[in-house]
Amino acid sequence: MFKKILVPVDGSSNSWKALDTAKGLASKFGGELIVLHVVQTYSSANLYLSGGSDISLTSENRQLSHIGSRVLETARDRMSDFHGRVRFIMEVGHASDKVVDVAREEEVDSIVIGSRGLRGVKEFLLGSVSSEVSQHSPVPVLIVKEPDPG
Amino acid sequence: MFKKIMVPVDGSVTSWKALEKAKALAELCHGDLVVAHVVLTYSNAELYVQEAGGDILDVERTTMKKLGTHVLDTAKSKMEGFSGKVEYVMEVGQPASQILNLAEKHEVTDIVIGCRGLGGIEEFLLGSVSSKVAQHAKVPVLIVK
Repeated sequence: MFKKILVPVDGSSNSWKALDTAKGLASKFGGELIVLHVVQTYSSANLYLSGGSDISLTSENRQLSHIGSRVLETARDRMSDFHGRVRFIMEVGHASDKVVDVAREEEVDSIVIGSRGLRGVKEFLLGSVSSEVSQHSPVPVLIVKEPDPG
Repeated sequence: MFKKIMVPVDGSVTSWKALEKAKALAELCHGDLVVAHVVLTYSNAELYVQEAGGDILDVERTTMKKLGTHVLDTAKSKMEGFSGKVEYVMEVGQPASQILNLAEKHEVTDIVIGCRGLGGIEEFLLGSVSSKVAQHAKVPVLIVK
């Protein structure tokens, strides 16, 4: 275990904590890391509801991909002192589905994920990405907790 | 990390998988283990609804405790050969909240838990014990598949 770890990052402080934890575990167990950012784009259906145009959709999605690249750059910086193998992947789609897909494709042996991402209230109502991932993942999932606010 | 791991066991296959994983991690990290079993008993309110007598409640509780002891005995036999320290604890109450209480009381560094226990349909409808624990624990939670 912890020989090939998948870490999804969304730019939230909790996801950076997960990355630090995964880095520590990979160093300790001699494992490699795959850092994944999932860009959640707007679909045509969303667009239809909001009455926007195709042009605004494309520019919105371009903006989100741009943010995604920034998130992975930050991840790269944080991983600069890691001596093992690490790869950075960006995918487009539904967050928890993509995380599980990549876990299967890359045949990782574990996933390390923050308990709560950037979705806030929506997560509270619909259940967090981490709980969806832990339910559908083929491999063990380590859920890393938010640092205590106090 | 993995210096003092709590593993809740309910006798289900995934809970034994969690125990194996926790044992291996504790060996690698020179950590200790706390193996916990929560006995789910019937409450007085349930009894009231079912119009049963107090005697039945006591009998039920005794049986559940006996089962719990059996689960922990099985855990003990699975932990043979482990070089660290192991504590076995049994509590009565709601699994998720008792697991969280015990984690704080024993000041564990992590919790290793099976993704699905013996809860079956109820777990499916209300969310599993493991996801409740993962959501509310103050320490990292490893969910074993």
